[in-house]
Amino acid sequence: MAKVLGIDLGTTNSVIAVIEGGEPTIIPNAEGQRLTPSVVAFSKTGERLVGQVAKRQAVLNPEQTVFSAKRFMGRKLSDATVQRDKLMVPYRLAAAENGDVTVTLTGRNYAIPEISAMVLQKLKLDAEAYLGEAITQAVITVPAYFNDAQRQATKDAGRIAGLEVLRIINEPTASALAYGIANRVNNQTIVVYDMGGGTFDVSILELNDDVYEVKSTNGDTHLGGDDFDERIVHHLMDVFQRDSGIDLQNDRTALQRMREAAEKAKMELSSLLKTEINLPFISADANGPRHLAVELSRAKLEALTADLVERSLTPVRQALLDAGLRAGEIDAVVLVGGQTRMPAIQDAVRGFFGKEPQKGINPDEVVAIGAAIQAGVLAGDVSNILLLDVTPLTLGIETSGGVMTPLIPRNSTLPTFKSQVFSTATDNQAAVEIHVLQGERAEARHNKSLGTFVLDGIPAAPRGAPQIEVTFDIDADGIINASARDKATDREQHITITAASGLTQTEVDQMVHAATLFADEDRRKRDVLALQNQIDSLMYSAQRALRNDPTISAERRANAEARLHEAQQAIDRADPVAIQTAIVEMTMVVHDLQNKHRPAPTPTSNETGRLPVIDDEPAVAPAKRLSLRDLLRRGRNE
Amino acid sequence: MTDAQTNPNQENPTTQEVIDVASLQARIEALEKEVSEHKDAYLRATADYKNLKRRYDTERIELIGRASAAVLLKLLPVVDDLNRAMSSVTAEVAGSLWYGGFKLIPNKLQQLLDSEGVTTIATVDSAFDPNLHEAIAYEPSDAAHDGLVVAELQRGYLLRDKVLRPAMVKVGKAE
Repeated sequence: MAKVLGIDLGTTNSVIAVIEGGEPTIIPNAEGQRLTPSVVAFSKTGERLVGQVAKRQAVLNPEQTVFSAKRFMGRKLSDATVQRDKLMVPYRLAAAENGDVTVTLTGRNYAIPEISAMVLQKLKLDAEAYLGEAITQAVITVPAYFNDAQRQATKDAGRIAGLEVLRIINEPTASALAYGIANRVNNQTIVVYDMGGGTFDVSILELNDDVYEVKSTNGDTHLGGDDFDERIVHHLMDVFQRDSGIDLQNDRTALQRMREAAEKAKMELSSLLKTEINLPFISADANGPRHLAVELSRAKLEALTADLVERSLTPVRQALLDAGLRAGEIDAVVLVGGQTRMPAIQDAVRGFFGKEPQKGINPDEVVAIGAAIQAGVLAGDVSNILLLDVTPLTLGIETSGGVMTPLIPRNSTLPTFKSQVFSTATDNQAAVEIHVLQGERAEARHNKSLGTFVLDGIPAAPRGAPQIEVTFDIDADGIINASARDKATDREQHITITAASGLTQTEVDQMVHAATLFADEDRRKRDVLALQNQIDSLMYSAQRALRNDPTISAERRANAEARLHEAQQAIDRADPVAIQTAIVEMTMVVHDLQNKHRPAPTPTSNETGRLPVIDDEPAVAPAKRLSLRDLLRRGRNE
Repeated sequence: MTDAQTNPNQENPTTQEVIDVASLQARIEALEKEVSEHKDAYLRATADYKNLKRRYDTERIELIGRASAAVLLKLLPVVDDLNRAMSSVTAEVAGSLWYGGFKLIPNKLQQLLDSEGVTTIATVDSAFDPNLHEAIAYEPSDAAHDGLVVAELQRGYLLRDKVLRPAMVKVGKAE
């Protein structure tokens, strides 16, 4: 039952995930972080450092700290891209015998897969520590444009790290998997817009019979979130120089503080319209300390970075051209990478394709989640993913007052089972009607009726006495078995309903949406109903007392009748405040009437004796309204 | 003459029995396979649940222990700014009545941190440790100071035994 690890081996950061209980879960590393920097270093003391710790000493040890190794994976030193990227990294590259890129560290040449293997090994160990079990197999993602050599090199990296790489999958494919696009319509064309920290990739995929075909890819290997941060930093430096005359370009500490503040501000501006960058004592001059306090609005940020956003659309246009498609022909757009959280990017994508991009999953983790799903399929966990269905809407029965009483809440995982005991509404009620409902509204009539059945043969008893156990049993396929059993007689009746009673996803969404819209109104109605039921009981008791007690004086009788009349009016108006007042009044009336009530000493009286108000059992059912204790309405045989 | 010759319409009972057993056998095998698949799925689900629960219990304890970490982390930049302000106080300001009151504030904040189990990371003259320090810059130095922290640019903190925020430091580098 070994788990297969899903790994997003990124240029800047790596993420790991696994399927647990049918759900993909991101695994935090040993430091408790969900992202692990893809950085490896050999410290001065010869210690091997991987991840965040490696980053922390990069400044001291630039030649022995390897980052962005992915740019060189599976390539020859003579490649044009390698020659260009070589200039941007401080560590030394050399060619292996076959021309492959190697990194020279502590005097020895390391193949790029060896470097990446160090990252993978840390991820493997951290996953094992977290899960408490050994991991020997993995699924690793690569960019869609990776060629055979690059894919093989990635597989080698896994092997060196002690992982059997069951499959190498494309990052955009993993993203599509994460969004479950596979489960929907066939022949879908999907665009994946992936902007991370340092690189931008766009891919166009076509889904046919569960197979993803990459139609085209494009991108900008030097366009990412870091560039947006830099724009803010430059802006801050410009403002500061203008105000104080000081150039912060060479002040390492100030630059560090500004970079951190810039990234933080950028993230805040994704949800706020403006923020303040506040860096006191950023510098000093002859006059004393200098401070930086700059207000940055979203509009200003967008102005500073508009060209970057526009620049990202060029590879998109090219990718569409290469795939022979127009923007309007795309069925779905998926956003990946932290930078896509920026509203300006989402607006640009939405405007370009004319449809809302998919963005519900954490964009930094989408690819890893997709890898975990693929890993789960290969591990045989697929049965968990496919079979675990949920009830899309709440299931319940109709109870007195036309109310929907829920039994199984929506999104409950199947199979599931719920039992609850109800009772009769009226005295001597011989049968109950179980009306099975599906929906989120408070009133039964606003929900969808799934079926009705009757349980009869209930022995004569006061209302509220019989115990009718209503059970909902839903199997893995969503078939509902609703049953009602009289606990006294063991008589039972049931009905089988196939849950897929024609509700499409759209209908479900509409019903859930309507429920939220009407939530307030429904709640108010429910409250009014509850009050009405309360006043009902009280009125009933008062009426009964008036009817059966001849010792009540005319004065008190008149008073009681007046209160009853008022109460009825309040009910008719369905005014909660008036009903509340009436409840208070009626409680006093009933209390008054009952206190004067003496137990009849003679056997000719048919009074049952003194009992608290609520349990007074009338021989006749209440006149107009069905009370809340009146749970199963429309009893037959009355 | 055999039975089959005298009565060709009568089926041979032995052959029929054999056929029935074979199909029953196949059915049994199919059912056994199905049972074992179900058992496997059930065991997996139970195991997953047990693992999740075990982890949940451990994480909950950890979470309670470190619940304050996130808020404390957010507080640190404010502490930093206060420290910067304090370290750039001029003689003139120091003599003022106002400062007499103001300087009590960082103390109060420090007490709060202490009570939460926050301690400072040792920096200057300690060996550089990437687990505790983040090197922002280096400074040419003699051999004695090679690999030692020569200046603290921003204070680092531990929350009990874990690093809350590494210290930003300048490290000596012998050429």
